[in-house]
Amino acid sequence: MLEIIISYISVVITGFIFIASYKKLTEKTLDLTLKKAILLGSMSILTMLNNLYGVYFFKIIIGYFLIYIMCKLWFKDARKKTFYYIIIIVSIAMILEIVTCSILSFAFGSLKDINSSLMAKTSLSLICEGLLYFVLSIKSLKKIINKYEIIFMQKVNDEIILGILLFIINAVSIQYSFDYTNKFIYIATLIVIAGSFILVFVIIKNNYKQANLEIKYQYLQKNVKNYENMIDDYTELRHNLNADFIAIREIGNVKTQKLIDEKIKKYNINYDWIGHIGNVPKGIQGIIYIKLHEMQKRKINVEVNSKLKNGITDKISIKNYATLCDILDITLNNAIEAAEKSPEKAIYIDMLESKNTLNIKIINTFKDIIDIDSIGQKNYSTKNRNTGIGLYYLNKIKRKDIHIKKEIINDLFIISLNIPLK
Amino acid sequence: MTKIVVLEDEKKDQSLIQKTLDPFYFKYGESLSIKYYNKCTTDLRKEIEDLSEKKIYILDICLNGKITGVDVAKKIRDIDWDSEIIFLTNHTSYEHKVYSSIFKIFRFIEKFDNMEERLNECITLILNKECDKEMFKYKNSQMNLSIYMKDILYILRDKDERKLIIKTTNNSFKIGKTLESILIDLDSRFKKVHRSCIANTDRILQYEWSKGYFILDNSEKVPYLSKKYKGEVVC
Repeated sequence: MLEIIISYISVVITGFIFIASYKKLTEKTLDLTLKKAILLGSMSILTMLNNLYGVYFFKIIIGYFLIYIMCKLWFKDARKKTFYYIIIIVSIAMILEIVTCSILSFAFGSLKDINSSLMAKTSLSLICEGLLYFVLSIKSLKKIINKYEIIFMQKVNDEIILGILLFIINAVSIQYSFDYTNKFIYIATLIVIAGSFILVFVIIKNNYKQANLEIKYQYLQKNVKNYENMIDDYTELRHNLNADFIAIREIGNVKTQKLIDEKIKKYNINYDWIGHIGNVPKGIQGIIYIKLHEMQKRKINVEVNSKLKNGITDKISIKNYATLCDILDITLNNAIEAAEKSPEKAIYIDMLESKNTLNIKIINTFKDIIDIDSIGQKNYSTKNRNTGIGLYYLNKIKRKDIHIKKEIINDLFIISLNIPLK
Repeated sequence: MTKIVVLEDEKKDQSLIQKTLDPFYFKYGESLSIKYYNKCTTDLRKEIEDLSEKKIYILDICLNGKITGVDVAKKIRDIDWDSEIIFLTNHTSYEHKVYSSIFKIFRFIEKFDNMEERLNECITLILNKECDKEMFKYKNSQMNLSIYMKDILYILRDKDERKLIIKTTNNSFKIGKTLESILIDLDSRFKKVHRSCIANTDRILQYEWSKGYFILDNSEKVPYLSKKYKGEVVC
């Protein structure tokens, strides 16, 4: 009877330490009411029953599940949040227990005596739980745990949760399926738990990075949109200014007309190149923007004519999309290099959707010596020969379903791409 | 027979254009026809597809609706590189340079800057210009090459690579052909002037038979002239 009372008190204290640890991490208030005290008492009874009569292999898992239920009912947090903190608390508790037991076994040689004495076992358990509360009070650790909670809540999907669960079950089963007095088993368990932790943290960290990137991308998108609106306003303003100038010109004398003509030219300094990007669908906008910027730097005249709707890149298969980005990168680099040497320095990019196909045409001026029969062959390195048309690279990445047509019409180099849409 | 196709949606500007073009109609009579459109219609599309006549397109860039004058020009150039295109615009813009180079636009005319006078000048120039759109074409598995014959200066045989070098105003192209076979693909302005050279006689300003070179209209001196071929060139 005394044993049962001691065990029960131990289970109640353990449960309360878990509740306190959860409160510590989530910075919630305990609000100890009669209702919650009954919850703790009844959950402790269930835990005791599980300890006494539960299936040996599932005892620990069921024990932790009961703690989860208790925390969920106590704090009424979201399912994922409760799960996250319970996983953290339980995993740290498990590590602390293993480390403590390992230290004791190194110090005393065997834990058999401790295991056979209820008081010693209970004391050891309570020491471990006390250590848990102490470890979770470390501010830097708490900060890290809280930081990853946001990512876990937003990004970690059910598969990962299941994965964490499986790892813990695995660790627990290893710990309790074998001889717990064997220090090598402890170390192995420790490694498995640490490995699981590292893996989970790597996944969470990656998700965190991705979440950060997505936030930055959203801001970038908003900025682009704002910029596009500003350009539209600027264009409208310029158009109105031109119209006003022309109206005044009509009623002015020859001298005034000449002056107004000069002013019209003065106020027509153009920044339209950046405005072209607005019509290019998201997904290839970035690469086109980088190239447009490069063209501006090299004083190349460029015009982008896109009649595509946003979301068209979603209709391209992932493989074709990657290839398209490669082709655009190479083709535009070559177009820039070739156009720069020509007197006209002009590049024209045309994009349209027709018959379930994305058609992109890149036309550039050039001034060079071109070997028509060798171009695109392995030994004909256009870069080395400074022709600026790296068709060899283009041929290398050519896919069967992407049709690439190359032609020269007088002083124009034309590349036409046909990409099938889903 | 030449046809002038005008695409202008502003009534005021269209009447100004008509005023400018009417004298040409009276001067050239039946050999010149003028057609006016105020938007891109099926008739205009049919007009573009009909390649039986020499055409001069006068296109307003800003049109009411989604289709712009640039779109129409693009449609024209998809099938027709022979017709001349004149753009009318309300503002000076830097992309004019791109369109001029890429779509071979004859002229951009700003509506606010002496439109009638400049349009008159352009039409006169085009109508007086000889139409020469003959092209040399070459094709292999990698590439299609088309060059205006008037742009070819001369063709040389590269002994080392056993290829021909086609020298044009701005570029040089190497192709795997013989001088004899390429001569068949070219018209009568091209003559063999040396055992390794075919020249565009329209572009030669001066022959120096005794010194063995000829001078082109871009002042380039080409040292490939042989008396052996004098008979072919002179006749």
